[in-house]
Amino acid sequence: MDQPRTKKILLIEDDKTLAEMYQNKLAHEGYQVVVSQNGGDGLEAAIRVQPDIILLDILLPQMDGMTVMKKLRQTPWGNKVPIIILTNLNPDDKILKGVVEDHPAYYLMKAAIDPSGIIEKIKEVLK
Amino acid sequence: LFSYAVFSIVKIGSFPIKMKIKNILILIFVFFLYFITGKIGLYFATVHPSATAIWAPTGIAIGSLLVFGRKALPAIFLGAFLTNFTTSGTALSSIGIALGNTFEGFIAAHLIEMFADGRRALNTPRGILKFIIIILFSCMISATWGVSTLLLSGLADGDKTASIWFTWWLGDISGGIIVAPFFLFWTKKYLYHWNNDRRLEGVTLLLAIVIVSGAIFNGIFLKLPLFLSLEFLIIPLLVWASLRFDRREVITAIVIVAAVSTWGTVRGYGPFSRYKMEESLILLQTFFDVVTIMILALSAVVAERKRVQRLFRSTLDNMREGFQIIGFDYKYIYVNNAVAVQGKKKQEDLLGKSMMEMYPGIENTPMFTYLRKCMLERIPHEMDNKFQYPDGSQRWFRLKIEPIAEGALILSIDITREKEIDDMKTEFISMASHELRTPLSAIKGFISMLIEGDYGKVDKKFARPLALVSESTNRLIKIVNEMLDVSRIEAERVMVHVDTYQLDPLISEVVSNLKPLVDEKNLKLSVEKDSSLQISADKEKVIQILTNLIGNAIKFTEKGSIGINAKLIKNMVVVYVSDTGRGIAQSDKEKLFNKFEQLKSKKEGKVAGTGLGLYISREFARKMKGDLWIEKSTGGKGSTFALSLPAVLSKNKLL
Repeated sequence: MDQPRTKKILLIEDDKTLAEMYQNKLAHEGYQVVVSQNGGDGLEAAIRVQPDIILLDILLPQMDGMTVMKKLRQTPWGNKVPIIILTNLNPDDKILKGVVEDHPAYYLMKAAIDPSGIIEKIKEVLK
Repeated sequence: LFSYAVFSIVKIGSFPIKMKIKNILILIFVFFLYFITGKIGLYFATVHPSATAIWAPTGIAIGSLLVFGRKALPAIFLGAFLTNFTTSGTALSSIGIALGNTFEGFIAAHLIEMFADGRRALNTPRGILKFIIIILFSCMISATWGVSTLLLSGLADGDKTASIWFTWWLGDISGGIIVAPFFLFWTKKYLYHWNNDRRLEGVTLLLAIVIVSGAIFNGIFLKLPLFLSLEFLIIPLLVWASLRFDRREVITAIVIVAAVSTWGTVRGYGPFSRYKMEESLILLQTFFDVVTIMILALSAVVAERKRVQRLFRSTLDNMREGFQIIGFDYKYIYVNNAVAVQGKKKQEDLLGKSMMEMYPGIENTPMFTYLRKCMLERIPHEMDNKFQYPDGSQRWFRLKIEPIAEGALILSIDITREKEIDDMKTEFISMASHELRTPLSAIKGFISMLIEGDYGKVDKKFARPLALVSESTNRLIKIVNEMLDVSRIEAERVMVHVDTYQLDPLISEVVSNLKPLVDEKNLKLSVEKDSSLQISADKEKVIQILTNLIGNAIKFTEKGSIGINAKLIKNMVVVYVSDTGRGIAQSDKEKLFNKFEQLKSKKEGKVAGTGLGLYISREFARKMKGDLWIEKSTGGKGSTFALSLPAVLSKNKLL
C-alpha cells in the first residue's frame, strides 16, 4: 500500500477456488490482479496487459505453463518480466530444463506455501 | 498237513461265489502255465522223478501271486498236483508236494510284499537283494516239504536225500530268480515306444544272443572246441541289453539264453556239460542265477536312473518357472520348457548354443554382468530384469542366479503382469496425490488468510479451532507428499539435483523450522557446528531427510535432549541425530525402514504419521550415494540415527 504505483499482477490459474484465493490475497495486499484461466488466454493477457509480475501455473488447459513461459521469453517485453511458477507439480526433467532455460524467479509448490509466503516472494522479486 | 488241506479247501470253496470271468481266465492261464512248465521241468528230472534242476513253476507261482494276489493259489495248487500226479507218485504224495509248492510261493510272495515292496521289488538293487534272499529261503520250504513227503510215502531212498533236496532247492531258486522277474516284467505296464532305430537294435541284439548262445552252448552256427569255456561271452550281450533296453527285454534275453543253453547242456554239449546230467544242470543253473542277479541289479540301476531323469525332466518341464543351467562358456547346458517359452525359442535350439549366439547383445545387459560375477566370483544374485527380445518387445523376469559346479543356475519367473499392475498402482497414487494437492492448497491458503485476519479480525474463540484445522491440513499435505514420494521411488522417478552445499546452514534451517516443537516439549536441543563440512547432495532432499530425522527425534522423546553433530569419515560426511527417547527394540531395527511400518504398529503406539518417512529418507539418501542407518539404539535409552552423504573436500571448494 505504500508503493508509489499499484503493481499489476497476472495470475494464470485454472482452478477457480485457488484463483479466487490468490486474487483475494493479492487484492488485500493492494495489487491489481488480472486472472486468466488457461494458458492461451494467459499468454495473450500478458502481452496485452504487460503486468509487473506473472504467477504461472503449469498444468493448464490449452497451453501448459512451461510453454507460456517459453513463448513469453521469446518476445522483447516478455524476456524480462519476472515469473513465479506456482504449481503442485513436482519438477521432472522436462520442467527443470525449462526452468534452467527460461529462468523464472521462483518455483513454488502451492501446497507447501501460504498465500502470505507468496506475497513475501512477490515483494522480494519486485524490489 | 491234513488240517492245511482242509483249510485250503474251505478257502477255495469260498471263491466261486465272488469269481468273475476275468478271474476264471486268470486262474486257467496260471494253471496251464504252471502245468506246462512243470511237465517240461520234470522231463529233465534225473536224480528222482519228482526233483528237477529246472523248475520254472516256482517263478510262475511267485510272479502270479505278486501280480494277481492270493486268488491265484488254487490254480497253483491244482497245477502242482496234476504235474506231479501225471508224472509219478501217488495221489497222496502229489497232494503233499503240491501243498509244499503252493506254500513256498505263498510265503515268498508274502515276504516280498512285507519286506521288498511287492511287485516293485525289482526296481532297485536293494529290492533285488531282498528278493533274492527271500527266494533262497522260501525255496528251502518246498525242497524240505517235498523231500519229506517222498520219504514219508516211501518214494525215495534215504541215502539220496541230500542230493534230491539240493537239486530241488536249486531248481526252485532258478525258477524264482529267472522266471518270476520274467513274469513280473511282462505283466507290467510298458512305457517305451520303439522307433525304427530301436527295432533295428533290438533285432541285432536278438540275433547276436541267439548266435552266440547257440554257438557256445549248442555248437550250432559255429563249432567250438569243447574245452573252450566261452560262457562268459554271453555277459557283454546282456550288459548291452540292460544299458539300452527296458527290463522286459533284458529278462527276455536272459530267458532265451537260459533256454538255449539248457537245451544244449541236456544234449550233452557246451562248457557245463559233465558226466552226470544233474551235475551239468546244477552248474549251468548256478552260472545263470549269478549272471541274472548281476544283470537285474545293473538294469535296475539303469531303470532307476532313467526314471529319475524322466521325473526330473517332466517336473522341470511342467514348472511355470524357468530353469536353466549355463556353463562357464555361457552355453546352455540345460533349459526347461518354461525357459524356451519365456525366451521365445525352442528347447532343442538353445541347448549347446551360447547365450550371445541366441540373444546378440545380451553380454551388455546388467543381468549378464551379474551372471559373469556369479561365474567368476561365485556370488549369487537376485534381480528383476527387463528382457529385451530381438523383435524389440520386452518382458519382466524375476531372476535368481546361483553358482553351481557346472557354471550357473538361473531361475526365472515372468513378472510382467505384476509389474504392470504395480505401475498402474504407482500411476494411480501419483495422480491421486496431485489431484489431492489442489483442494488441500486451497484449504491451507484460506485458513492461513483467515488466521492472519485477511477477512477481518477473527473472534478469539475461533483461534484454536482454526489453528487445529491448519495443523491437520499440514499433516494431510505431508501424508500426500509422502505417498507421492513413495510412488516416485517405486516408479524409479526420483531425481536428485546434486550440487555442493555447506552442511551447517541446512541443519540450521531445519532446526529453526522445528524449534517451536522442541520448545513445546521443553526439550534441550544442541547442534555441534563444523563449518568445514561440505556435501555433494540435493538440497531439498537433505532438508527433507533432516526434517524427518530431527522431527522423529522430537516426536519420540518425552524428556531430555536431542543432539546433532557431524563428522567426516573417509570421503563421507556423517550426520548423527541422537535423542534420549524411548529407543528401538533390536527386533524392530530393520523393520523400521519398511514402508508403512509405523502404521502397522499403530495399534500399540500413539504417535501419528504414515511411517513412510524413514523409508523415503533412506531411499533419498541412497539415491544421493549416501545411506541412512541406526547407529545405536537401546530400548528406553534413546537412539542415534546416522545419515551419510558424499563429502566435498575443501581443496575442491573452487569447483
